[in-house]
Amino acid sequence: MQADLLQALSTLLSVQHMLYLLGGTLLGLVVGILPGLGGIAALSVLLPFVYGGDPTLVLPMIIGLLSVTNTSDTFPAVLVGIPGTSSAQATILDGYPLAQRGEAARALGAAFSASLIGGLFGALMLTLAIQFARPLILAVGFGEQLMLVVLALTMVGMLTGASAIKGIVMCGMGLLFGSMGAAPATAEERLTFGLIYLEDGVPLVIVGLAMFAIPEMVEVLRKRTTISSIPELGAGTMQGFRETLKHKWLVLRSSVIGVVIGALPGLGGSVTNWVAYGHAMQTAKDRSMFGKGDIRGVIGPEASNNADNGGALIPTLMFGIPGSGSMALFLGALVLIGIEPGIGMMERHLDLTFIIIWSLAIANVLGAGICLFLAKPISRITLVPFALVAPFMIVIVYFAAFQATRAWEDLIALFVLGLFGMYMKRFGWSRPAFLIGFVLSLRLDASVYQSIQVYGSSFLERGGVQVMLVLIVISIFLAARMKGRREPPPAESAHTPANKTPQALFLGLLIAASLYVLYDAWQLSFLGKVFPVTVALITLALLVATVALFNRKRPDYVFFDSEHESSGDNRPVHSDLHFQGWVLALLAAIGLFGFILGLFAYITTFLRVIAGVRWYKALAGALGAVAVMSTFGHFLVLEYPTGLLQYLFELPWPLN
Amino acid sequence: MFSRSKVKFDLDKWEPVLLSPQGAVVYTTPAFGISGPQDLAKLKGKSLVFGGQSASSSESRIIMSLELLGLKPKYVWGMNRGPVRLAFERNELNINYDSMPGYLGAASNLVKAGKAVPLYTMGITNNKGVLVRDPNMPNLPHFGEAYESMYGKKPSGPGYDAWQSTNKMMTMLNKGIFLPAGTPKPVLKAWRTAIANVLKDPDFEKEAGKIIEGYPQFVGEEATPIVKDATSFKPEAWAWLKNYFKSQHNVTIE
Repeated sequence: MQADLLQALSTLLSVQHMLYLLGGTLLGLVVGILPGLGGIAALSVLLPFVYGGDPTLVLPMIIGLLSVTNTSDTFPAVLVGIPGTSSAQATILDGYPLAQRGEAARALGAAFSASLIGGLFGALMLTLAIQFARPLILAVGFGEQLMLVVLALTMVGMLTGASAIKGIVMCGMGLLFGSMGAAPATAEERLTFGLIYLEDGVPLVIVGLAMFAIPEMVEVLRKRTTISSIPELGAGTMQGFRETLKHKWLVLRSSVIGVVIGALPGLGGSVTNWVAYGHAMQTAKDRSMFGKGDIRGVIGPEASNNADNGGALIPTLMFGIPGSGSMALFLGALVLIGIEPGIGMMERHLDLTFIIIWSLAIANVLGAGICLFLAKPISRITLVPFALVAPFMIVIVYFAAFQATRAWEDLIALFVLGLFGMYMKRFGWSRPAFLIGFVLSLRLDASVYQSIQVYGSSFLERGGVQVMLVLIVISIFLAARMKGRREPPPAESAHTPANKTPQALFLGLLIAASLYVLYDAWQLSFLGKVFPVTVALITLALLVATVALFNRKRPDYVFFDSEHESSGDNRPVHSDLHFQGWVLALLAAIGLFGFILGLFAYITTFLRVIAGVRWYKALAGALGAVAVMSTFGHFLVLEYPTGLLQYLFELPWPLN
Repeated sequence: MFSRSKVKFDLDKWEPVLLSPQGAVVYTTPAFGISGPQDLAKLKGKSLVFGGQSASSSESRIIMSLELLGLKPKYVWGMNRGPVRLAFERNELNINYDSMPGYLGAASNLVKAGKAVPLYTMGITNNKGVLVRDPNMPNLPHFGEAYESMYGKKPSGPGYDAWQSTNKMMTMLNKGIFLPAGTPKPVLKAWRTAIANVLKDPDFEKEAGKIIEGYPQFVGEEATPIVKDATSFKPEAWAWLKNYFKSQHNVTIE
């Protein structure tokens, strides 16, 4: 075993192998920084090129790519409050406020060092797991999987917003939204409105972009502020590094969370970072700074989401069961290079298994090193007015959304859900809870049905299930106690019950949506409707309770309207409708002129009108974007949406 | 294949270029005191649990064979192959199948470790249209033989006819290359000649052995009767199938 381990390292340390590993790592860093483009998108782009390649070269490249997206995704999370990938969502809660205080370097230093340690820990655990994982994973049956999902949902729901009840409601709404498409038990269609596009539900990448990218961009645009007003970031990087070491036990515990959750099928990095965040919060003595720039809120999620990869590789390599979307693609890559995962990875291909482990460790060191080294130059982005960056980012968001299924409906879904996301943000309904509910919906639906089908109600008697139940109760108890002990909100804040009509309307919309789900599910067979009906009823009950709370006269955490936060001179010039219009404008431009011409017209106009740059500069910026997108599309053989113009006339490349 | 309203093509009108079959193996746990195919009858009346994607998916040939054998497992739907095999290892599911590559790659290790016992294969259809043993597991009976060993007579009747058509569709048409109806003859001929030449190429044979696994390959017109058989159900067989899906799985096929 040890001989194999060293043999794999010496193979990997040759120049050629290191170049592949470095290439994968750099690509991973880039896609991690680009919001909306994560390991999944990058790997799907890479897959056609690895076919039939030498496994000892291809594997380091892929692992390099997957290992570091969770490192570099911290840049946009901390600097602009947009997650580079869904694994960095929790990092925003404290990383972004730190950046707004001008302490971005400190947050990044802590994040990258925590990422590094988490990643190495993940690689170590993967090595150990190879000897022990089989009996462990076999102990997690249907019932245990069900309980694990419930645990994740309750923690996320109660902890990610100011109001626990609204958080749980959003978990429910996410579950209902995720139930769209074919029911796992009966393959009956739910909530599809007869549209073929909705038969598999809305793709995750669209929900993620709509919930996080669009509302954040609109908000930053409206406030018209740069992210940091302090040009010099100081030497915070080393301070962040020291803080990671100071909180070494938190790093270790979060890494354990990352490995464990990563190893469990269905719960990927997008869940891990929230659980680690919840854990960092639950175990802290003084929680007052969480959400306002507590460094522990950065360290916990960042350590866990890099450790996640090591964990996720365990079931993927051993049983061929992917723990997450990117692992599913990794599995596809394994097949393309002719490796059958499973017990063979421990026997015939042990050398490749160790190459994977070493690649994971080395890529984490490389990735964190590059990020630490580049932290300062990249932090300077904070000084660029957002209006200059925004049109390009909106284009990238639409671009990423279109790669989901390459259908026009992707763009429409993005816009509609983006609107929903904006109002969720404005009225304080937890978007993470919605996203996690959405991700776990199918899993929960299937595991409820599977547990009951296999065990009946006796699944509750299983030891593992009871352990999980106790954990759930403890978690709810701790969360409730934490929420109960807060000071009441101040009189003049977003929690004031003044002008309640807009938020009451949104509440009404949620109630109407739940009622529609009930109506839609009612016509299905028992197994097809039991999940949506149960979730809809629970959600409705909580919504009714929220309505009752809405009658309160004093400020309460149940109220939230971010419009109350800004008053007088602070008030944004434009209403939120104004920028919704700008987001819609790109959709219209693409619809008329197709992607390339549409983005040209859009970026030019945006830069001229919103950012106020000169015409020729705006044109140059737009031309640059056209050049990049055209080359990108040409070499990677991407399709771009076409518009009315292409429908009427035949156009030459790249306008077609 | 079961006239789903969303599927809008007529397979039997297409021009076949190549049919590449792929078999499947049904196996169970030794927990019921079963040591081989000869003990199949012992499974009757046992509380079996089977996991799969959905009743009307490619698993239909498997669950129909269980039904015809008089085995009544509980069915757990909405599961992919990987999780199913894992749940089988955890003993939460106790009767399962795998396609031949899946079986040879992973499940056969369970058999070696004494955690699984193979029962029968789906067999393949030879060029005379007769069900014969899978060339990858010549020692394991096919479904027809398994039925005979359990009931002492050859299987027959509308249920068996329905199984045969379904099995041809899933096993014999497992992988195929087709050209659209109305493809010009010279184009069709070029495709078929090319495929026939590929199959004859010794280099291809060397590489492909692991993938096509010694299954007979059907080029061009050879494939036509199989496609026709698989896509046309006798009316009684169709009625049986319709009733089976409706009464046992609450799935309506048109």
